[in-house]
Amino acid sequence: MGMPLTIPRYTIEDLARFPDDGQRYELVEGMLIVTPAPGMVHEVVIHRLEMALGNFLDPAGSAYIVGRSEIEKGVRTHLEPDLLVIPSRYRLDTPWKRVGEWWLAVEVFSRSSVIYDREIKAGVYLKLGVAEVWLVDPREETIEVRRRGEEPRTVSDVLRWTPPNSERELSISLNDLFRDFLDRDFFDEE
Amino acid sequence: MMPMEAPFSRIIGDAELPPLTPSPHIMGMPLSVPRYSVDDLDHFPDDGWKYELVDGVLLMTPGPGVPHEFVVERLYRALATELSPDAGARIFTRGSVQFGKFTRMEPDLLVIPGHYTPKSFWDDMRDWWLAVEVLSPSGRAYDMEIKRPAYLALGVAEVWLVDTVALAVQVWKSGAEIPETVTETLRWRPPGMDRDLVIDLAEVFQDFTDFDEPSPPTPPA
Repeated sequence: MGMPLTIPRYTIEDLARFPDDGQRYELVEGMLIVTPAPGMVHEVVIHRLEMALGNFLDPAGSAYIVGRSEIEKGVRTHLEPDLLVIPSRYRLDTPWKRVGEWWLAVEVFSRSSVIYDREIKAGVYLKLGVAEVWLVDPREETIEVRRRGEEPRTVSDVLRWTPPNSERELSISLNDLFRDFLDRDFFDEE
Repeated sequence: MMPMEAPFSRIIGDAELPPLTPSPHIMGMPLSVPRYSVDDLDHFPDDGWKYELVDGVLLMTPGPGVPHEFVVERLYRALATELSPDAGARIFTRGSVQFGKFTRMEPDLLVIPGHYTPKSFWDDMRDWWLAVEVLSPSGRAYDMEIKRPAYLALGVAEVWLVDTVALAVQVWKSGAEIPETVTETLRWRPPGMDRDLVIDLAEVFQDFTDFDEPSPPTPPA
């Protein structure tokens, strides 16, 4: 009979020895999460959200929107949200691990990531102090909004967001965001 | 290959500095990873993805691609040719290695002794002879770093990690510190058999040479 099972735990430094093969390697308290490279639907949705956020935030200059980013905590937690909004008080040469305030993290579900995104990453983001998390579901054409201490709410028409210390409100029409997604057949190919 | 042991006692060169300004958020709550039971797995979507658990930790990998299935099929035929039930073994492509309520892994091929019957349950089985994992891009890290040690810890006698890129099989035997890497002829002596079972890897990996060459883009119709 066997020995007790132990799950290997990794540090952020260990991630460097994983292959650069298009898979996304992330860590939560040292536990490894591997997700395959996303498909086109995923990338199109991210692009559209990035445009909407950029048009809204860029003129004020109060925040940066980043597509390839890292949220790190200690030496064993390393996550890569699909989109991240951080206040622009951080200098552009700030290493990711010195960033301690995040306004918004966005995850767009692909079939490969839905369980990890919804069940693991969203909760971790909030615990780390991310003010708001959007879980974007291109199949259901909805966005689930999570904020710490609040019940999650699912938006299917217009998503509204007010950044911290601001009175302006961004609204994003989900009809617009998911336009030309009506032919669902392609999801089966994903 | 990747080293199997994560270094736990590394000296951290750049210790964390306090945030630039006091963070308005509550920091330092312990992070936790959800732990699932095998019962929970039944509620996961039946969407072609493979959901496995090792001590409650979820491993999620995409369904297999064609190259993966070719190799599984070739290995199955090679094993099945000699491992008839009369020889005292059974071989499954959809078997489970299950232990307790929090561990269920599904190797690409599983060989168990012939004394089990169709009325056996996966979690009754304790003497697994061989688990084979054909490495895929997204499952590779899980297979090598998490599932392989878990199989051996549970008592699986031998684990093969089949690498269709390196065209090699890593053979891990119970109790061995390091694997044997085989590139030509794979020999295996199942318990109770009086001779080696021999698999020619050239046949298993036939047509896999230069597989990584990019195929030309498809012109528009």
